[in-house]
Amino acid sequence: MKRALLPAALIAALLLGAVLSQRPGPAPLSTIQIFALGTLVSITVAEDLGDTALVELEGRLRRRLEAFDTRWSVLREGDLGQLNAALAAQPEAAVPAALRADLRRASDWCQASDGRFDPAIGGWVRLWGFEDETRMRSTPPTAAEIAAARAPSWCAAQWSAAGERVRLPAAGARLNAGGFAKGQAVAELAAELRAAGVANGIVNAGGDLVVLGRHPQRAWTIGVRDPREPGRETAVATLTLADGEALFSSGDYERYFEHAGQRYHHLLDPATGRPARRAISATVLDADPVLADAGATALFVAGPDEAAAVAAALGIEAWMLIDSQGERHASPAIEARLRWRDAPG
Amino acid sequence: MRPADLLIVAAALALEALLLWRLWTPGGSAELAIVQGPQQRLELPLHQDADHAIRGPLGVSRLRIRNGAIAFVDSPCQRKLCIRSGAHARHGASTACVPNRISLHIAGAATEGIDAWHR
Repeated sequence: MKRALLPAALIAALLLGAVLSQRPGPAPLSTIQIFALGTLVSITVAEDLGDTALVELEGRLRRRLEAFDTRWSVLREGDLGQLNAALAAQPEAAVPAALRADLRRASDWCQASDGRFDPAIGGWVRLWGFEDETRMRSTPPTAAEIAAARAPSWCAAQWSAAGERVRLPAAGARLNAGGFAKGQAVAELAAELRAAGVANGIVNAGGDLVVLGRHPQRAWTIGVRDPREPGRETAVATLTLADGEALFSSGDYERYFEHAGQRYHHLLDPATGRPARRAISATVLDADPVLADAGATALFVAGPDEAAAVAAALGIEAWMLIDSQGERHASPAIEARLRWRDAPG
Repeated sequence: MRPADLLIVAAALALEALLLWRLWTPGGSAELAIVQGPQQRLELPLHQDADHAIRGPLGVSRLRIRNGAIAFVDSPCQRKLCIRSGAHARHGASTACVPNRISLHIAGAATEGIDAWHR
């Protein structure tokens, strides 16, 4: 009897072990990387789609980004290119249908932020050499050049009743979507992912990101780099994001040139036409990626003294700013979310 | 119990222990760097120190793996942001030489830690 039980017990134990070892693992994280928007767009997919579906999804995302780039690029003859051509010659123009909603919001945000966010500084962006990465300057423009490139503010935009046409006080405006286009792009990619059945993932455009759902085992965890040490792979803080939340920053470390020991970056103050100097980075966490993007730009320009007022005017609760002295200013809403690391790493 | 029985029992217990060890240890292969260029894709284990090169439209970008981390060490781009981004070792880390269309991503099966980097 004992001799009969032993093999049976061993077989049972082995079967139990085999069953347990087949525990379901976490869904694999797949990554799609696409060069677009002047940066590397990384899309993390936390679904087991299979290779064929993943390749198909990558194709859809690439096409979406290509269409987006054509629509918003100032260097192509797409929708924004046509609108800029019209506004260069006359104060009033028809606004392409695909741009209306975003440009209308942009004029609202321009007014609410008292001009800290203004997409109609495209002339200055071009003058400073930040419009085209291949034509970066190495010296700042002169005061006379800056004065000559001043154009009507988007805050002054008057929209027709149907929202199809816009009128500015004068001709010569040049719109640049750099302050909010990335937000719109990641929003569109997130929508494309959801349409493809992806409920869990991250859309990360050069460090500005929106999350969908959650990691297979927990909430998505985001590491925040030190703006003065972007090359260091340590987080000064971490936070978890919930489904649909976006985290955007504007910083003086993104695009810049240095001349005579001074850094000239791409975040221009719409009041002066020169790089804003009150902050080195501004961060916004919001459920609306476009507002997060535009808000980060506005807060960067506003600086520490006005950031809270500008954030309130834009309806932003969670924001953080590092001022030009390196001091941190943060709203209670984002302070409650951030986990600071005393010892980086 | 005869010696042969003991051998069978010992082998079964060892197999069982192996299965349970697999169950209770975090899954995870060695970290892998995925380097993607327009014409070529490299999958580089980070535990092997080595130098690698990959060609993009502007020329050759060079990467170096040392002590479990990978870094761009040379690239024919103007601003060298990929080089300035430093060495990367953690799952989810990404960088790129955008003008040369070379991307770097650290893959792996990490189940905790940081999923993405903000700036």
